[in-house]
Amino acid sequence: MGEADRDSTAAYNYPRFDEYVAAGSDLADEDAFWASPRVGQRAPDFTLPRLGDGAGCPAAGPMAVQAAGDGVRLVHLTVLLSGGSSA
Amino acid sequence: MFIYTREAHPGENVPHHDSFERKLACAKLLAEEAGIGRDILVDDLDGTVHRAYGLMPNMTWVIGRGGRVAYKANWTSAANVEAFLGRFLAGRAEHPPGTSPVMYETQQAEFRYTDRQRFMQHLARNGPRAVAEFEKAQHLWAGRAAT
Repeated sequence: MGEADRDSTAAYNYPRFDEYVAAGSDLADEDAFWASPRVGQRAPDFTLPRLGDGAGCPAAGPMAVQAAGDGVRLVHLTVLLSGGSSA
Repeated sequence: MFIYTREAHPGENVPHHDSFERKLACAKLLAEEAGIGRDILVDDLDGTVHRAYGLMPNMTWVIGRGGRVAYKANWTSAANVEAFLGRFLAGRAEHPPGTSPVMYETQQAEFRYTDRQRFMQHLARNGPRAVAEFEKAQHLWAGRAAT
């Protein structure tokens, strides 16, 4: 799987886990984590729909912290299978 | 808050996301099965937020005052997050007279303990294909470790 393919929506939502691993995409995901913002850096801001009512909510970053009003914002990104380990 | 990203182990019963409607349906299943009380936000089909935060399957990030990253972990441990928040908030609020808090960064290895039986039950819920593909992936990981 080339880098361009790996960036596609279809590759992101891979249908087969074994093929994803065989292509080394799980290793690329680890690299992406270490390339993501470091501690002390500004967190990217996004607005996402809330499950249930679809209302747009700030997901992370300064807007979300302001909305939270408590000085810190806990953001847990997960997949369906590991949802039971929520913090 | 909780951000729903993608299906890590698609199978016959819980397939990969091929539309935002399917992704929403899977997010609802997560909310029902895991009993999550917090708001669940659903990332777009392209995984824009997931990509920006590092693509791992079960991360936790803590964003501090001013919108800066205070904590990032490539796996979620509730106990670890709780311990960090306690230290972080106390460290910011309390300091000996005549001193001021100055932040520094750490990078630490932690251990997690997998409940193999529970994990395999989740895979089986997704479908036999999810189980078979995970077993194939284990062989691939073993091959990597041997080289």
